[in-house]
This record gives sequence, C-alpha cells and structure tokens, in this order.
Amino acid sequence: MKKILALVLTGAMCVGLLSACGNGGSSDSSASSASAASSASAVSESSTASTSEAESTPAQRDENTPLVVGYSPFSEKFSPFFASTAYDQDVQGMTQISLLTSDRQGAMIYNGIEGETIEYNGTPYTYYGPADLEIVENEDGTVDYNFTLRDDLVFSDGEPITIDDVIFSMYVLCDPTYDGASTLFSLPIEGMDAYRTGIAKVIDLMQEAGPDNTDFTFWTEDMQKAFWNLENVAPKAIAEEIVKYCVDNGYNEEGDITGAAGNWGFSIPENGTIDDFAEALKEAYAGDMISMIETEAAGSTVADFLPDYEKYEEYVEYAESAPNITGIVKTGDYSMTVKLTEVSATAIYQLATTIAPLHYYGEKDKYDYDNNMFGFTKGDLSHVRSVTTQPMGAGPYKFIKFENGTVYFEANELYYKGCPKTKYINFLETQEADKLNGVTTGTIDITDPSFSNDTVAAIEKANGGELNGDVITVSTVDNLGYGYIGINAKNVSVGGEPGSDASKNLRRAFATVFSVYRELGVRSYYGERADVINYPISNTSWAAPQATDDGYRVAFSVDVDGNDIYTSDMTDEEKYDAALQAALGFFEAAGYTVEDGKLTAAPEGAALEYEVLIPGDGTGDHPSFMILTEARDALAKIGMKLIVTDLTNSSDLWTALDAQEAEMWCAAWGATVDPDMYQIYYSDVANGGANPGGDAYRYGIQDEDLDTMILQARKSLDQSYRKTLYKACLDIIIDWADEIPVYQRQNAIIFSTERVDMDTVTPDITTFYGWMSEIENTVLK
Amino acid sequence: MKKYILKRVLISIIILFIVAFVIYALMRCLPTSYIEAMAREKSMQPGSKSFEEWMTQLSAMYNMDKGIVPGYFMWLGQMFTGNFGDSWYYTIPVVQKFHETVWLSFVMGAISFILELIIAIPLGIIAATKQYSKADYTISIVALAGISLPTFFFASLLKLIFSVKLGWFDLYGLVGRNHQQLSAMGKFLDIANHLVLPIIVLVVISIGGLMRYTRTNMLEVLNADYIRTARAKGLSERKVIYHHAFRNTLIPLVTIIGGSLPGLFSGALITETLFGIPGIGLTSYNCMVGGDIPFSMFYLVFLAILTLAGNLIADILYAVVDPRVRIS
Repeated sequence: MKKILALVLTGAMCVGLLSACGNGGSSDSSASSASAASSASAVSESSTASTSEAESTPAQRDENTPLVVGYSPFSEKFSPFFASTAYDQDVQGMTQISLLTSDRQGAMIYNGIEGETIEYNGTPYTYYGPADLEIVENEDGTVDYNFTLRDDLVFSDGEPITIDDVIFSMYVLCDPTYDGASTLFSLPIEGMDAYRTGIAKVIDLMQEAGPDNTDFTFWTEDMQKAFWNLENVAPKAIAEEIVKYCVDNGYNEEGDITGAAGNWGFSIPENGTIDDFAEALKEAYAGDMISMIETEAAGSTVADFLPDYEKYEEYVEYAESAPNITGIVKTGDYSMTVKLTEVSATAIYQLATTIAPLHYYGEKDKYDYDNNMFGFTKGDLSHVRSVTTQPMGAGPYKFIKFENGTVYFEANELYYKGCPKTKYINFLETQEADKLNGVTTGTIDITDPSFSNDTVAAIEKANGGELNGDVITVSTVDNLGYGYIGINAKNVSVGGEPGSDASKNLRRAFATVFSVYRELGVRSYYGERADVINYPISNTSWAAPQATDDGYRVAFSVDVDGNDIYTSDMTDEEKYDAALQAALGFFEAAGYTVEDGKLTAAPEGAALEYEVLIPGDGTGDHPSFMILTEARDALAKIGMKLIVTDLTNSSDLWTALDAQEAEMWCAAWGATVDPDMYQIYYSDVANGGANPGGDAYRYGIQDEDLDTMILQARKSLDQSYRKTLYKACLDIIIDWADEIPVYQRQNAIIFSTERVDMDTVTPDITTFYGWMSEIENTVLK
Repeated sequence: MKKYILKRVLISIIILFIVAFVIYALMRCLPTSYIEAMAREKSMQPGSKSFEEWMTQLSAMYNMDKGIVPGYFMWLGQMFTGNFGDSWYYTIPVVQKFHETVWLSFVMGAISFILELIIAIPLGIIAATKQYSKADYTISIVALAGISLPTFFFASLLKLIFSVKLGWFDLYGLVGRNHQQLSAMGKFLDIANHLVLPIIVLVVISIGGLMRYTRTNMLEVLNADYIRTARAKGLSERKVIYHHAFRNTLIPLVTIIGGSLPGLFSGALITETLFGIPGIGLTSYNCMVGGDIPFSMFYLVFLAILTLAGNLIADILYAVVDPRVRIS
C-alpha cells in the first residue's frame, strides 16, 4: 500500500515537471508587470471559457449612481497648465473648456457661438464652442486672430468668464519660467521674444558678458572665473575622458589618441597628443565650452566643471524686458486679438487655449490689463503651481477630490452646454490586466484597454462571439500616429553621399524587401486591428493620400527602371521573389557587384552587412519583428547580411538615434493634428543645415525642394493647397527611401452594454472627437 | 541591557548609512531614469529645446548632475533637515504621499497579522499534540500549500472565483462605485468589503510558515524532560499542554512575532497591485517603475530601517521572554 502511494506521488511529481514544457509564455502584449499579465491571461482565458458567468449585480439605478471609468494610474498633475501624462490631461480636461472646439476630423470650429453644422459620415452635426474666431490676413504678411467670447459664461463656482481669464491663461503659458507641455510661446506672436527675454539664465548672461566683465550684479567673480576657466580646463579633461572611453570600450588601442579622436568625429594629425585633441575640441566650439561639454563629453557633465552649478541655472531679470506681449491685445470685455508676424498654419491649434479661471489660478488683485499686470508676478508661477492637484474651470464636471485611487467628479450645473445628465463620475485607477474584467464584472463601465489579440478574443467570448454585443460594445479609432522602419541616409549610403542616386538605390533595395513583408507582419501581430499604410503619415490626417486619390502608389512597388514589380495575380511567394529580384536590381544600380544572383562586393562607403535596431523587449514583441526576420532570411539568399538587433531596453534605441549611429531602426511617431512636417523633415540644407527641425537628423534627408515645400505649406492656411504640397513632400520622402511606412493601428474604448445607455454616448467617435466630447449626454441605464 | 540596546542602535545607524548609499547608487545606475523620460518627452514637442538642453536643465533641477557620492551626501544632508524632497511622479512632497498611503497598508497588515496568529498558532499546537494523526497531516498539507502558492497566482484565483464567477466582490479597488453616496458607516463597510479578498490572500500565504514553526517548537518542547515529569505528577493533559508546554513554545514565537511587527508598515506590493489597493506597496511600485528617485529612496531606506528595527526587537524580546538568555 505504501509502495503504491509512493509510486503515485512520484508519478505526480514527474508529471508536474513536464508541465513546464510547452509554449513559453502567452503572446500577451498588454504592458503590465509580468506576473500580473500572466495571471490575467489565465484569468481571462478561463473566465471566457465558461459560458455561464454570474450576472454582475447591477448597481442601484438611481440618478446618483456614478458612472465609473477605468484609467491607468494618475500622476496627480491635474493642472490645465502642467498636466503631462494623457491620463492627467483627461482629468483636467473634464473640468475645463477651450477657446475653440474641434470637429470630428480635427478642424477648428470658427463660429462656436452660433454653432456650425458639418457633415461627417453622411450625418450633419452641429458644433458649439465658447467663442468665435475670425482670421484676417493682412497685406504686410501679418495675421490677426480676432476672438469673440460669449458674454454669458460662468465658471463652476459661479464667477463670470471674461476675456481677462483668456489673457491670463495665455500669459501663464508664455511666461519665461513656464515648463509645461504647451509650446504657445514658440508661435510667431508679435512681441513674444521681447517679453520673454530680459529674463534669462545666469549662465547665458555670463556667456554673453564675456571674460572681462566687471558687473557682478547677478553672479560672483569666482563664478565668472570658473566659467571662463573652462576653456583652459575642459577641453583637455574631455579629451582625456573620450580617449579613456574609447580605449575602455575597445574601440581604440591604448595611446591611440588620433584614432579615438577620429571615432569621435575630430581629425587630428597622426600620432596626435591629448593637447592636439583638446585644441581641436576647443576650436570646433569656438569658445562655447558649455555646448562642447554637453555634446562631446563621455560621462561628465557641465556640473562637474562648475561647482554650485544650480546657481548658474537660475533665472534673473537682467534687463528691461518688455512688460507685455504687444501681439496680445484686449479689444473689449469679451474680445481680443492675437497678432502673428507671419502666416503659420499650426498656430490655431496652440491659440485655442484652455480658459482657466484668473481668480483661482492667478490672483485677481494682480490683474490690471492697462498697467501690464496679468494675474501673477512675471517669472513667478508659484500660485499657479500651488493648485496643480485641484483643477477648477468651466468644464462639464467639477473636480471633487482624488482619494483611494479614485478621482471624484460632480456635474457642473452651470456648464454652458447644459447640466450633464450623469451627476457623478468616478475615474478609477486600474491596472491594464484588470480593465476588461472590470467591465464584465461591473467594477467599471468604460475603459481603454490595450487592443491586443488577447483582448479581442476575450471580448468576443464575453459577448458570445462578436466584437459588439450585449455585454461589451467596442469603439475603435485610428491611433494618432503610425509605425515605420527608418533608415539613416548618412549611415546607409554609397561614397559618403546620402543624396546620390546610388545611395537612394541602396536604401530602396532594403525598402523594397521590407515592404513586401509588411502585410504578413502586421496581420500576424495586429490581426484586423491595424492597416498597412503606404505613405509616412497617419491615416487620421486630412493630408493623408487615400487609395482612391490620383497618384496613390503602394510604397516601394517599382523596380529600378520604374516598372511595377507586382501584378495582381501573384501569389505571396511570387511577390517575395519578385521583391528580392527588384532589390538585386537596386543593389546593382547602387554599385554592388552581382555574380550569379548574389552580391559579392560592395562599393566604396557601403557594406555587405547592415544592422537594424528593433525595441522588441528582447522577445521580438514588436509589430515589425516578423518583417525584419523574413527580410533578413530573404536578403541572406542574395548575399546581404541583415543583423536584427532586438533591444531589451528601448532607451538604447533613442541613444543610438541621438548619437546618429543607428543604420536602420523600427519605431512609431505620435502625430499632431496638423500635418506640418517641419520638426521631422526640415533640413535647412540651403543654409548648410544651420537650423533644421528638431528630429530631422534621424533620417538625414537633405533635400532643398522638400525644405521649400515644407515652408510653403506651413505658411498657408488654404487646406487644399497644403494637401497638394504635402502629397509632393511625401513623394520626395518615399523617393529618398529613408522611411518605410508600415502600420496604422487602432485604439479601442470599451463600454459596458449592460450598464451604459449606448444611445446617449457620443455618436461617431473619432480620433479627434473622443467619447468624452459629449459627456454631458452620457447616462447609465 | 541598556548598553546592549545602545550599541545595537549605533551599529544600525552605520549599517543604514551604508545601505542607503548602496540603494542610492543603484537608483542612479538605472538605465532609464524619470528625468530622461521626461526630457525625451519634452524635447519631442514642436519648437521646444533639444533633448540635451532639457537633460541639463532637469538634471540640475533634480540634483542628478553630480556624481553619485556628492549626490548622496546632498540627499543625506537634506534628509537630516527632514526634507525628503518632492516625489517626481506625484509632484507632492514624498512624506505627504507616504503619510497618505502607509496607514492603509498598516491596517491591512495588522488585520491579516492578527488573523494569522489566531489561526496558525492553535492549528500548530493541535498538529503537534496529535502528531501523525489525520489532523496533523491535514494541517501540514494546508500549511505547505499555503507556503507554496505564489501571491499573484492565489490572488488571481480568488478574483476569478469570487469576483468573475460568483460576483460576490468587486474585481479590484478600495472603494465601490457608490462610496461617496454612503453614510459614514456605509463607507466603512464598503472599504471593509473591498479588503476581504486581499486580507484572505495575505493570511493564507503566511499561515503556513507560522504553523509549521509552532508545530516544530511544540514538538521539541513536548519531548522535554519536564513535560514527562508533569505528566508523571498526574497533571491533566490540558494543563500540561497549555500551562507548561505552550508557554515555552511562546519563547521563539514571540521573538518572531516581535521581529515581524515593523514589517506591517512595508505593504504587500503584489497583493496591493493586483487588487488595486492604493497602499504604500502599489504607490512605491508605480514610483519605482517610473524611476522616481526621491520616493523610491525614501521608501527603500524606510524598509531598511524597519528591517533593522525588526531584528533589534526580536533580539531584545528573546532576552526578555527567556530568563535563561542574558545579553552580554
């Protein structure tokens, strides 16, 4: 008896060991702690496996039952000025109104007071807003934005809204010490620069004052001495640091200073010394030691060279800065004008600021428009910051408190669109893994789960087979952004000339092979929840070319002679082969030697091996991963080696990009409403690249025509004109083969069909007109 | 005794100093930090400064631009003035956020601790007195199951059974949807209702260890000579067990219990995260994942203090409870 028992137990133990075999980890792409994720998939799979789930107890349906929305954790920065995460933005957004509202396609409503009726999807919708806007383009090139506010608006505490509140809000955003997310101050508003200068950092002033300055009002002589001594101390120290870094990491031999300098981008004569290197550094930065240290250091920072560095970073008012912004003009109790010095297509999105209450965020006795006082002391936003955690405004709901992981809202009876029908709303902090189950069990009513394959399967099971059913309703919108594979023009080029035809052909070869596998990769990762796009622009943008437009081409579908590679009757396998052959043609045109259908030699400046970075958490968890692995295998057949590097830490990708060392990489862009391309593609090549867009270095496109068109499009307000220009821009970008547009995915909001009256939810939800846009109408059943 | 305590406290301070430094160094060495993420986000806005500029500005603002050792001493200096800084993630002062969240974890910990004692010790005694009987085996199996169950698995299991299938409890959260509309008593009961599942998880996970320990000690004591003498004298079994044996078993038990008291403040990170209870465990998890150095430093140093205090209490209690042990 005992023997049998022992044998049975041993057998059970062995079977237990075997259970460890099997597919390693579910393909869960929800981003939460690993343990929660694996247990959650176990929970959702087994809960959906059973067909008879308990009815979640319906809450008492009286008019005081709160609507509960599940949100990812908050950072408590609930201020219209300083909110940074999307969730904090939503919280403060519930309590605020903006000067202008937008329609379902992201366009601004100019006649908010009377209302504007615009058709969407065949249905006419009327949009209202607190203000009207009239844009006047003057003959001298300046533009006037004339705002007229309704005169009957009040904040949730009863205080009437006047144009002073708008002006106050704008001045907070334009204050020199403002460090929030808005960039209103970067618009070409008349008088903006004059207002914001006059307050500057000590270190910048010191730089300007020069080494012989004797005015020590804002800094001490010791500070000045230390700063100007940098020239003598820093270059050598940085040079030594760089050499040590290169030697330690094996890039150069010990003592090979010329080599290390070369790796860092500086050429010094053979057998150079540290002093030679230091001289080169000093010369390259012509006295601006701060930039030199910031850019070239291999570990140290400016603070290492200047003791008490925070004193140098202090803001001081050194000069008579302008007391006001001449371009912001109050023209009446409920009207104002903002004058821009030039036409800017993107200005309107920034100008439609939140109308924040002056009497709450500022101090009323510090507001006197005629005497240049705008509700706070210039340079001191402490009063505004002090109420960051308690927002108040004229929005549909009042913020009550944030307690026990819940934000409590109460309806604002004085809301200008009418008192919201649901009296109480709670935003409940929810872990990603609990979002879906929270809706099915009745803990929450509405939430935004990550729209992965597992989520879709779980929703379908809960509904009994369909995506929209009696338990859960799903609303999907295109994500504001798109995924791509990037190729750096400089690092993947022939003969050191990124813009030559040979270089473009080299990149086109890769692009063609990547492109043919896009459908496969995107379908397997996203299923039906994403589309392959053919232009590097999000489908949510009005400037995105549609398949029905003239001149719409599938990306990278022509060979080196301009003929279509694919025909409509090809099988997938034939398409892959055709792409590979076309790539071979491109490689040949780029200068590669082709023998027997294989690459045997690369031209000068190019290679037979390239690396692509992909932030797939080390497990290949990325939509483009399959594209890369398939491409790698295909390219290997023709003798080109593609190394796919899966980065576990995604910040390594950004470091490589910033250092301009990456050859190819996978990432995604978050788009803005306006398709302005300045930030990403403007190279300023006509001026030698003096003032490029902030992210233009990533692709390295340097095309004068592209630059010209980008500037022209920015400065026009005519949408159809801009659309034509942007189409031409997109064609040039595709021509350079620096960006392969891959996917446009969808986001989802899920509603509990059992508890939320779906007829009252905002109809036709889009990327720009979310479910909260008409929250005043949403009720529970 | 007093000299002993004093000596131990002084040594603890030195250990704390070193431990805090190690924690600080580790946090500084994290590959992505909060300010890096912040600088990256800010630099991506149109028209804003470059990433390097933001890094320099933010590094100076958050004292990250100094080396590890100077930075540590600055943090230490501020700590002595009671200023632990503002949490980067939550914006409000670290101490304030801590104060808001720690009491919830303490209450949860205290309740589960008391329940644990009430359940584990009697069961351990029964298992010991009825050694090798069915009761003993059952209790031992339950104990082992409790020890072997990972927290996240058991918590998810409970959520599945009681929330998804039976619908008896909310899936997560500390308060229900109607919390604000309830009376004061209603609010109290609402929170109690939401704490039932987390406390069950905490209790089940920890009774195993305590039960086994009680049983072992009890067995050891029951085999001692003086117990045989007591039985020989003719005392009732009840008196033998509860008057003589149990009191001697208590000696090591009290030390363990005393040593784990400070741990009540540390919060149960996994349980709180899974049940959405905004205690110190969940808060510190959010901060650590977000790379919030001030809060993480404060919390980890706090844990270090608790551990040292726990050890000290355990050692002292041992001397207090057992007259044979004298601290020299």
